[in-house]
Amino acid sequence: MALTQVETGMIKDAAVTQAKMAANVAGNGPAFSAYPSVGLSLSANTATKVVLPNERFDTASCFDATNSLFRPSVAGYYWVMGLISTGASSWGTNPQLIVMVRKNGSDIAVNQVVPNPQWISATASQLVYMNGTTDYLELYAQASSANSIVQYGGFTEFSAFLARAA
Amino acid sequence: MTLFDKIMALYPELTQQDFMDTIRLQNDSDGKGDYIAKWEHPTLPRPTEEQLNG
Repeated sequence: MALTQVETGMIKDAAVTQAKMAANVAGNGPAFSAYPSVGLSLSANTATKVVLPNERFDTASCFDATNSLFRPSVAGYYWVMGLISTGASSWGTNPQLIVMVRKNGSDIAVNQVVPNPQWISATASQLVYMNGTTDYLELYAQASSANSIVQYGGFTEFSAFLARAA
Repeated sequence: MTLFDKIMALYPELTQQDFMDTIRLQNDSDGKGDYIAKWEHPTLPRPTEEQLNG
């Protein structure tokens, strides 16, 4: 009898190389993209968590839209990106916008930019290891202005995907 | 008056740079408002609740 099927359990792990993959084969680890639905007012010089109740996609239901945090269920290395767009009528004497991606409450990616004149966008990205159980990611923004507002409608975004399993 | 405003009223010598380096004000968008997440200023003591609300 001709062998027509091979159970994957019979294949050695080391034999599953990239070269064996078809061009349309990609990893299917967790990935998400979330965004705000309303503007978020920032107090001056105060790191404020960005509220992200809307999901463009969330392939493994790992993004907690209620608490605006990403807690992936698969251990590995994730590429994470936070985009913040803000506007303010005035930015103070030392204008700045800071976007912060945080892992378990600590900064892992920070970008500081100077607004000019009223509107500014900034991104912070990083490759970060997540343990697949308790580690989580959040997005924060801080601005020098007392009247700056984080924009919505596609101008602010938080996303991540599994780049390499552990 | 925001927490930042109250702190600046107490310590007008603080600069914006201080709020990037040694002091961190934070708001977790959980309805609890702004709070001092970190105070490591080398000379100025962390203000008390009485000072902030006085």
